[in-house]
Amino acid sequence: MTNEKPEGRILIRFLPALTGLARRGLAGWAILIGSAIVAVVGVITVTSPWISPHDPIAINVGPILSPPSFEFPLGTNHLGQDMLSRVYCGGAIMFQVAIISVIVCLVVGVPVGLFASYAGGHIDQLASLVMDSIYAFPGLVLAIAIAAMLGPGVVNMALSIAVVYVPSYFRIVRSQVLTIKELPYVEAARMMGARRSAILFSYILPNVIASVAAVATINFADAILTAAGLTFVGLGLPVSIPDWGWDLTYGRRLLTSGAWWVITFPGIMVVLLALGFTLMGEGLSELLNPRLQK
Amino acid sequence: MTLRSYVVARLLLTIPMIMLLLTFVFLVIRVLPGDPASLHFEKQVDPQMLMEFKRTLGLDKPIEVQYLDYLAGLLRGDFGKSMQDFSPVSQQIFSAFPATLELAIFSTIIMILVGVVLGTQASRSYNSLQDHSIRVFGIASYAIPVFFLGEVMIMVFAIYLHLFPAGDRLYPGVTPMGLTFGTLHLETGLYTVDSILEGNLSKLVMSLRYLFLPSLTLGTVLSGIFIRLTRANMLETLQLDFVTAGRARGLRERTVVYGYALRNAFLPILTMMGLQFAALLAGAVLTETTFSWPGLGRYLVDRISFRDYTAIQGVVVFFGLLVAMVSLVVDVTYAYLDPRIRY
Amino acid sequence: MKISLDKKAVTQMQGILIIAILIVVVGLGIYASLPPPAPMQPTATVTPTTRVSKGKLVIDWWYESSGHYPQSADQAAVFKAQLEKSGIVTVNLHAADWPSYKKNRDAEMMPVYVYGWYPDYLDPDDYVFPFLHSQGGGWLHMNYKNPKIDQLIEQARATSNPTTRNQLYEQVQKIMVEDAAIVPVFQSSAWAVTKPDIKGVVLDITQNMYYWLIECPRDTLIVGTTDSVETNLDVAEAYDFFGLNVVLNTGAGLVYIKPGSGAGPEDFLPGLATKWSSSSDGLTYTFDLRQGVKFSDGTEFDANAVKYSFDRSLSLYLPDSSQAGIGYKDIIKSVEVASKYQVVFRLKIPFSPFLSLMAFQGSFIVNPKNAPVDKPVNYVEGNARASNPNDLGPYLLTSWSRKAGKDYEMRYEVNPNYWGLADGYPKTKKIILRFYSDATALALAMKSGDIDMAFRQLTSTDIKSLQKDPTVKVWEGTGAFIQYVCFQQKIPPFDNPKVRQAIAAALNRKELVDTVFLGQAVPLYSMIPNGMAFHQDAYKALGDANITMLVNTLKELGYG
Repeated sequence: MTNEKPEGRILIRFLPALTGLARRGLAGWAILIGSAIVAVVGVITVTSPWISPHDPIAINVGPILSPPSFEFPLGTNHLGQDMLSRVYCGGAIMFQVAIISVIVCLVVGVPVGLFASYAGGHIDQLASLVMDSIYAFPGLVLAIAIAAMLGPGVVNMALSIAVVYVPSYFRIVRSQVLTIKELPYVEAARMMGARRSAILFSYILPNVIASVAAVATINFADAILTAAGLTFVGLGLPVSIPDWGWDLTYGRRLLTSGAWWVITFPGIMVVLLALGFTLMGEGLSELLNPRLQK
Repeated sequence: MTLRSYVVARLLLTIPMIMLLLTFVFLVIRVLPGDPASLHFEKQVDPQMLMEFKRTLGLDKPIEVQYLDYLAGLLRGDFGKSMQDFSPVSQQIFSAFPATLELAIFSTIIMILVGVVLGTQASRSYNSLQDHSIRVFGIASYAIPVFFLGEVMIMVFAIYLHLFPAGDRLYPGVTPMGLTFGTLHLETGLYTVDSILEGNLSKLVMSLRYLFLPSLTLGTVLSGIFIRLTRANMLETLQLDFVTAGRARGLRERTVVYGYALRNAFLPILTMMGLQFAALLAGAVLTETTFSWPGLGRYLVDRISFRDYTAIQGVVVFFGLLVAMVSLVVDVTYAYLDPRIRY
Repeated sequence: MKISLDKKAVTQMQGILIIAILIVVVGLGIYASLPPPAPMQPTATVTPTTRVSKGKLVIDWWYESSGHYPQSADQAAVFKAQLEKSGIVTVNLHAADWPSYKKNRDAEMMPVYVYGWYPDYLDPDDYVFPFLHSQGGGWLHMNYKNPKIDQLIEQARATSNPTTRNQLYEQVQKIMVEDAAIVPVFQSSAWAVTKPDIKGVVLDITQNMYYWLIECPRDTLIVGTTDSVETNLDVAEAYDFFGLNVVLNTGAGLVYIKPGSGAGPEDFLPGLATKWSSSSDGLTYTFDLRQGVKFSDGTEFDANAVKYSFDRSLSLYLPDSSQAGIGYKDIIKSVEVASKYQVVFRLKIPFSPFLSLMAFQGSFIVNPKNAPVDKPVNYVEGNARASNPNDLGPYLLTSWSRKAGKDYEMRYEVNPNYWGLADGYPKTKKIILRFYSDATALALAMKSGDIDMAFRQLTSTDIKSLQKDPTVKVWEGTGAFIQYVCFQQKIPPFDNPKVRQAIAAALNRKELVDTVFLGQAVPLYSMIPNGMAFHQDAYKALGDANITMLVNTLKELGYG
């Protein structure tokens, strides 16, 4: 898509931008479909208080462990809770945890990456050493350790996930900064006496944003999967909050007695949401960097 | 820098990394609420009793002393005794490790098979429906939580179809015994290898049956990266001259693709495989929990819930060493195989 | 300074902006509609915060989340629903894994928390002293103290007269309800699942598994379980359910509780002792020992072995042992060898549950040759003999292997020196114990016929579906495990007995048992469990699901 007016009116370009994306091949489609999935799940979650037929945490609204039926389209679980309502409402926690952890990662990883790699020298080496050590540590185990340390809670879970993924942001930012730092026009700016912070924010940051955005969307997906994983290992939230991760964890035990619906539907939702974000992220990174190798 | 000095430098670098890891874990687990001593008591309130027990666990000493003691033990090769059941941690780690190793090996096999074959197929039919669906599969498989896929596998194949067992890793009584030659006893702990050593076909089959679902789950979820990597590399390689030359000479397409192109594109795949293998070893926690696979991941999670400090530290140091070793081997192999790279 | 953008970059920026806007919009929308996130968990050093607003009563209800108690999260959900039905209470649930939960308990920061209990010795005293007595119940950190109830409990333990004890425990249970410091909720039933051709499974209030009573048509009985020995099999240290079970089947005590009985005063069977008597002041117990019993190495069992075992446990007095936990040293003054086959126990205080204590595994007799007097006997890889100092029981532990810190397999074989051989015990000569990692694996193994018997732990849903399965037989018995609610009396308003009573009254035990355990547990109205002597449904006086009482009490105090 050609664009003759770089200065703005981006919002007016919204629809053409979308179709423009579609014409960018598979990557564009990936972004569109991914965003659509995320949007749908998001809308369901946001409207869940109004569209849920029952209170997701009210017990005994239906017979215990009944299979999907007219009255309870997704069945009921072992406490007689309506699975449909739980599926509608369970995403809220996932979104919360994912958003908080991404924000923390951005707030911590990007500035540290920018300053450390721009400064170079010992600061850079130290930061790299620390980040590499965290990166080398098995991710889930680290998250488990920190989650166990902080205790249950949305913010705590988000923090433990954030700690695991900050090094990824750091690395991406650092590799970008190292490349851009040496470019002629940056050097020119430096020689003309521009302040360091000005250089960072006007030159380097905008070019870094693109890659960071790609990492951030994949981070969303990872955060959701890790949050589910933490709940699976027992470090989740109290049971009074409807949560897909909890249903996945508990639903395991019900499989041997034939109750397949408790684990299946929340699982599909988690997969959909993670898939949506992953598609967006992969599409983005493909678009920005067609031969991006991990 | 020659290869030798590179290896030496890397080995030396491992030490501060392990130290950092160890220090970090040492502190983190001591910050965790609850401590291993109190877990042994149900009704004990006598502070003197509690203190005495803490003393037997070595927890009464100041934290720096505990740290140095542990370090001194490590240098001697002693991982200490578990604070839960007082048996040597190294023994527990070595009894759990072969399970994780075997799972990692077979998951890697499946990961490579699925990833490379699908990736190659996708590159051959560039921009076709096959290509697109394979690429979508590559992305989608990564988005599925591994324990959900595992549960679905268990549900379908084990509970409904009764084709495969639902978990654990053989049961005692049919454990392969390895090779016993006079007084020499060779047992790797890898059941498949041990059954071959023992010459017992039925045990081999059974080990493979138990291994199948967990490796398939873990391998599928991780294959996405390989699909994309293979496809990208193959796309580049397939455009190179020698491939066209091969085709022009009339070689069969399959020989050209797999024999010529893939072989040249394989190097980055090999690197990635090495990295993923290390991650597999370290992070199969969820798979092991889902399939009740008695490996190191599950061991670690159990020990965290017991606040078993020595065991947790031991596992983390072990992991760290393992990952460092594997990535070193991978990097060295890469450097060895690719004459363009010299450090 | 302006950055020059090229066309490609602009498209990229547009794409990114679109996505960013999407995310922000969705995120804001979600935030606007979310239920309030769970409050940050206070660490042990922060003072607890049960806010006493003059609106609803806010209860911070804690439960253990790492599986130490069965389905604790489900129970918490049900409790919350039940209490909130009153409309005048808000329950905030908090979860902590077992080590954190214990730490919180000791830090006295949980206003309301749920705990569970397996008995040590089978006597009402063991269900009352560790909870309602200010000293015995100190471990719960409830800060509950009532000198009157202390006195009654101490009197009840000192006298053996059943009528007197009955009167005393009646009063104890009355005060228990008046003070409502601790509220029993349910008593779980005991379950075992076997193949249909297995006979002789006894599930009684001791919740011991007497393997020697089980008859299996095949010569080896294969048992599956999810338990694991937690420390070791040394009588002087073992204090976990499964470890004590192994001690029960491979070791022997002076007396036994008759399997299947109610563990009453008439229900003691001779074990290593054939006759016993106590002095009138209850301070001396004399046991005549069985003659001709041999240890596995051929040495004869006599009073010296008894003295050795007790002296050893009392001198080691390991902090995590059953002896230290129960307080053997506060009870036993000395053990004397009166003659080769007679041993005398001198007690510090009259202790009427003494025989029950002797039937408990902590009082079992070890083989002096295998149990050094100065250290406990731990697991030795590959050497079952060295790992188990018990060999007077129906079975010998012939093999014990552990992998990764958990039990892998255990094998029992009939003990050729067992005194009960003449009576036909053990009925099955060989037992193999297989350890499964979780209930799912165990249930599948049972369903597929890999094992003959499954004992501990299966989920309620599994048991329910197995009850419908014609290929297995499900055995049920009274259980001894109870769960109860504790109040931290340092935190208002739980220092007010009226509030505690009101909450106790509002609980609907039947609904809990039916919803969470599918009827596989029994509502419990007293700390003394159903089926045990002197039990009374004391809490029934407050009513069941008595929401009215809760509402009225709280309204009087200014809530609502």
